[in-house]
Amino acid sequence: MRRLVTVLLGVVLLAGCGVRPTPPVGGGDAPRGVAEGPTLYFLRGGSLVPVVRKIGKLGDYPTALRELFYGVAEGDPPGLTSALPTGGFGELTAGVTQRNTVEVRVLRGDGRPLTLSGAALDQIACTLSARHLAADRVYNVESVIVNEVPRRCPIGV
Amino acid sequence: MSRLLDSLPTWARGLRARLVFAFLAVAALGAAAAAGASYVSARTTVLKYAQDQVMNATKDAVSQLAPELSFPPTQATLDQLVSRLPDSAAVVTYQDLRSRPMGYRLEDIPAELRAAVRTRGTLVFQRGTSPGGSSPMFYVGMPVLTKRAGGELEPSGMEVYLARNLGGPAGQISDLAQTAWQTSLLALPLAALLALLAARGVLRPVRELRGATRRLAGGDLGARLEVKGSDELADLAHTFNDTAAALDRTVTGLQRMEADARRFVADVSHELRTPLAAMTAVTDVLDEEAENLPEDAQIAARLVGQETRKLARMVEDLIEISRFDAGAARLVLTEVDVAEAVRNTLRARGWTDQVTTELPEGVRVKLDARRLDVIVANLVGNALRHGQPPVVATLTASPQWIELTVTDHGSGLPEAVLPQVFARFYKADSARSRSEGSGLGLAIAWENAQLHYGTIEAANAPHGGARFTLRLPRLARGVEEGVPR
Repeated sequence: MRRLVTVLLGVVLLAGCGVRPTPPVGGGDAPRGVAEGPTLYFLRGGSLVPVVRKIGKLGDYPTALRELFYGVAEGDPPGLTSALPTGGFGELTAGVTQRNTVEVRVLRGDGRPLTLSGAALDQIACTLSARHLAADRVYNVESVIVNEVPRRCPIGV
Repeated sequence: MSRLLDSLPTWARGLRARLVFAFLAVAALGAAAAAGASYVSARTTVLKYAQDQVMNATKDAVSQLAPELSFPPTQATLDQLVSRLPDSAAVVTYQDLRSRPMGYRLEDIPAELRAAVRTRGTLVFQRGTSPGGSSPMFYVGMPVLTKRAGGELEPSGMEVYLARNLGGPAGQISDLAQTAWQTSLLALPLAALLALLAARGVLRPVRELRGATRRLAGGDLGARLEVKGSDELADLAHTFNDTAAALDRTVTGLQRMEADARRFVADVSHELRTPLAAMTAVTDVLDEEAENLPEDAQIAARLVGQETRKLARMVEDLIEISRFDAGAARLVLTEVDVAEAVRNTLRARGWTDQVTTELPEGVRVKLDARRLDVIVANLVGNALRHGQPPVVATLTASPQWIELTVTDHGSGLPEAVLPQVFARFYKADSARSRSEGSGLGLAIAWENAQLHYGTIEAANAPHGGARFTLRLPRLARGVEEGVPR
């Protein structure tokens, strides 16, 4: 009898009434996405090298791509090269089309798709993957589709 | 448990009250448990919904805005972020910078939470009470992470805090609690009603059993219970019926046997009467002729005469007592002067010289004169036979009773004998098994006194002799005349 009363009392006390205070409780992943600039991938002796282009914010996918097409800048580490054609594209779109796929279209001035070398595709894939991880949390990029050609970044970003 | 029961007031100790209390306790416990469980789950749901909404909305907004935020941020950047968050009542910090206060300040956020945000690097929430202490508050803190090239995610130094008053959900929850309790309270009268019905169902057979038992105890051997159903109480009713039937059989059998025995005695006595009358006549003749007989024959003739008279008296006594047993004895009431009646009795028996009397004159009572004569003759005869002279007969009278005591001056009666003096054929002196009396004299006297609604008591007088006290009510007062026994 006494034990029953104790148990019932315990249950009532545990349940309590109203909204009870708690200690700090973890509530999941924190948001991300602030950065001094997008991470771009250039080549040095055939391997991919990350470079943060400090533009004062992370920016969106096209921004990162435009910076990449711009090529190696003055403040960047020495000895870097880019396989992307300089001086030119007519139109550029980039964005997440499925949850782990970034799709890119780069057109020449005459409206035809720009032809890119394998190294250039790697540079684009790695830059866009890095951009994806920097802000669009949860999923890693499975593939980057450049002008309908799928490409995966060969290194960890 | 039994001590608990004893401490209850009498009305609460009955089976019905206990059943109802137990039923109510179970119902209350059940209702409370159900209400409590539903309340707790509802509270969890309501709180989780409210909290998740706040956390997710803010997190999504920060995630969306972050890529366009200039970094490292300026005061303007922080203010801009706060203004574009869905709730605005947020504080954004970056190192020593604080966003412009909008509603809450950083100091309103619990230090515990801020420390947890910094050490854990994840989204953290905490519930507490508002600085005033009255309303429940919900606090969320989150660092904004940044990713280095090829490296892990790490805190950028920017942190977002927000506080939200949970007054709305708390009100909703207390409404839920109230509803839950009200619903369970509603169940109690219903439970009480059910308990009363159940108690009635259970207790009705018990009540019937009690009634039947009382009838049985009161002598109604035909008391039986109607057996309904096949539960334990029906079993009990069955057992009761069986017991009552067995008792009925036994008692009826005993009564029949007793009646048979009495009738047998009465019949035998009646049958003996006629031959005895003839024998008495013959012995009377023998007595008269005894002097002419040889000496041996003389002795034999006297012995036969003595024993025959004794046998005749015993048969008369037996017939008398059978009449009492058969309930056939009737009082024939006449107005009698008691002193005169007693003197007549003594004179008729030739005892006047042997008995000292104290008989006040003028005590007139309605009673059966013949039966009074039998009683007095028995008491005095007994005293003369077994006690020592002088034998004293004393009459006293009160408005309700007359009392006649007969005292002898012998050695009195042993204490062990006193209760059995009036039993039939009881001999006080076992050594003298053949006394002159029939052994029925005192029994007959007692029956006669009973017939008058009176008593005879046997006791020892202070000086040692036996004292028999006859107490008779004055019948005209209180007892109606001629009431059959």
